[in-house]
Amino acid sequence: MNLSVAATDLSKNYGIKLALNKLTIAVEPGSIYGLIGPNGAGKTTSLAILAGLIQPTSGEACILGLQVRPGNRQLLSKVGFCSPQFPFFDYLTGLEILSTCGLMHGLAPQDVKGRTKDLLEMLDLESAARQYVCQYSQGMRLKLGLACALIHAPEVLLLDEPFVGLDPTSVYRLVCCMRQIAASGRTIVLSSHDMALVERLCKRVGILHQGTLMREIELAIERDGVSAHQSEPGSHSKLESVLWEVVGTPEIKELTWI
Amino acid sequence: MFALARLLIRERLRKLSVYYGWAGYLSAGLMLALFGWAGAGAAARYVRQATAVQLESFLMSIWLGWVIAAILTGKDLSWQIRLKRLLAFPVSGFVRLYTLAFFLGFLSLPLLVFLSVVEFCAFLKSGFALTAMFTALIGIGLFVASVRLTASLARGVIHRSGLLTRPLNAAAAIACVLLSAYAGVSIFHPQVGVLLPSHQFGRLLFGEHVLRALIYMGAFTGVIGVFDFAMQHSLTYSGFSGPSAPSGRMSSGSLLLLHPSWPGPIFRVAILGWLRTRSALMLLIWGITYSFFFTYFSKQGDVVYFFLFIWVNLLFHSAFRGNLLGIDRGGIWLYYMFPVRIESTLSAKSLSLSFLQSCMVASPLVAGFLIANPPLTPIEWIRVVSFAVSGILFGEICGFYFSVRYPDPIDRTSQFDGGTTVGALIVPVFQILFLVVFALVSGRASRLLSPALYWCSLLGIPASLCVVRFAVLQTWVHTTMLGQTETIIKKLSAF
Repeated sequence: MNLSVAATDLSKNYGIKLALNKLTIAVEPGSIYGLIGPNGAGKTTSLAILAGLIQPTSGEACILGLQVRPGNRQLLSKVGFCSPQFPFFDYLTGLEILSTCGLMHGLAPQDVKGRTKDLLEMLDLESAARQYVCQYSQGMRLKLGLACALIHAPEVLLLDEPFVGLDPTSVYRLVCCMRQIAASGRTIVLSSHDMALVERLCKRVGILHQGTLMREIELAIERDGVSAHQSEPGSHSKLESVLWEVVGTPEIKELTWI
Repeated sequence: MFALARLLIRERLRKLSVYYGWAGYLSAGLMLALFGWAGAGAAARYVRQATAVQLESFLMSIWLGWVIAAILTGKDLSWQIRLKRLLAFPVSGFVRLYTLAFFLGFLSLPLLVFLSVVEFCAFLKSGFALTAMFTALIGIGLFVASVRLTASLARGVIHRSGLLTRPLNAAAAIACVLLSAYAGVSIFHPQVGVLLPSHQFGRLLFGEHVLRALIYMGAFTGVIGVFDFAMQHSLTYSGFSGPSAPSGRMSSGSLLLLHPSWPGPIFRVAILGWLRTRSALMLLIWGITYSFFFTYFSKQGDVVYFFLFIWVNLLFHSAFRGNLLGIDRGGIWLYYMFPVRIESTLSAKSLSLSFLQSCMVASPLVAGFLIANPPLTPIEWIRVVSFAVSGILFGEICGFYFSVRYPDPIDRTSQFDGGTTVGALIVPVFQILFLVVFALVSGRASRLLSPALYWCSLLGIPASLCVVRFAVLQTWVHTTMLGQTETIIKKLSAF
């Protein structure tokens, strides 16, 4: 079967620190793959390697049959990448950044206008579109990043923590958009700390811990949209329970001095 | 307070170490030591021979030049600490924060070299009197403080008025206007400028009315300091970290979608980026207007004059030229995600900056063309234009190298933005060398070569630089930027 994303033995060292250890994943077209794990587990590194922004120390990755390496232009037109860690140009407006992205991807100005309008509307950024990015909140910056990743309708979307700082309405819209994207045969690889959303969205989830892919699990996807998720201390979702199994149940330390 | 001061100093040392490393320390230290040694000798000779009036006029030029440069570039050689960042620390009262930042500001290598030079002169001039050294030390402190506070006040009024209360804004603006008018009048009538720190500092170095000079300088610095304190207080607690008024609605981005499609979007967006970078824009406006009007009204216009003016205009943007990616900081990742060759994006940034520099360089040439009497001969014009084009291309070549090799983030939200990176320090030095070499070689060639050959050589220099810039260097940039993707993005704090 043709795979959308295939990584084999991807490793990454930062000096003596092993950030990623022989990551091997295979993602089919039309599916949403989730990467979860504690902070520093290697999720962002994995996605940045797949996006061609980081050179792996060893191993290789292919997206849509194309070798992942920095500067592969053919690949960039098929991939959309977004991370909350990327700041934008302070003194450009959101609209300008988005338009530039569209134009750089070779879209006609007319298409850029139309797509920009749609994306800004979907992400509720219309009112802020003509403000400088330095005036944006964290959530607005993330939305802009998402819009930039989506404007050229990529075949593969790599989203690093796409729900961080988003308001519930935007999360709902984004989830619906992701489902639509997956339904159209495109692929999404995302990392998130929101277990409930990952559980509802992803077909398969990889659990990363200390740079190693500890386990991969298949999930049955709920198709009824995003319902309010309430969790009480002690009651875990299925995915959360598996995560605790892998990384160890967190101990609750009481601050006796408070 | 001391704990915080220690912490800030430690953080600064670590940052410097990350930015420059030991090689940077060594070269900067050597350069400053050489400058200090040469400066001290020259200054001592000058102070020994100069009259009081000459010294005051000389110090006036230094003071004015320093203030203008600080207003334009945001760099006044002192250590700038963002007060807003200190709010996270449990320091009671803004007075303490402000005082801490004010005194730490003096811990800067160039300022310490300046201090040593002046101290040395004061020591010699006074016949080795310790009291003279002590009063000179206070005088230097007040002199530097007056520069720093004046520049800070002016930049606050120009750039951050949207975050100030209306009365404070008006008061600070009036203070700036009055001060500029007073300084302006003092240039033409030096006897009027008795209140300026430069005037009193001259007196102090001469050992005349030392106490009165210190009181005058203290009063001047105090008054400006009160305004600056009020302004910084207002800015620090304004609640906004961005540089502009929060209500501003900006461009619709139509420039990007305009027809014809040439130049490409990346060039257009790069132009927008420069025009929205405060320092770059101010330098552009200053460079164009000052160059034009000074040349027009002074009616000067020989080859050497134009060489110097072109060179000065090219120097203005050195901080950006030597660190093209610094302003984008983590935004650089977007370049890697564009489906174009990575060197095209850097090239667009460089070319757009060259476009601004060309406008600045063209300004004195146009003025010279309009008024020069006697006018330059065609071959002289060719020589001047050849230098201008070559200078820009040479700057591009140096800029490419340092931008790719030593990218450092420039904090745009800082009031004193514009980073002093390795490239920003070395590119001007290279530009000086280029000016000297070009002037000497082209001057000598005019005597040795036949006119036809001379023409060819004048056209050949920019042509060969063009080949290096557009053919050879592009490949190097491509390979290096892709090979160091991770390092560059990391250094510009994306991860």
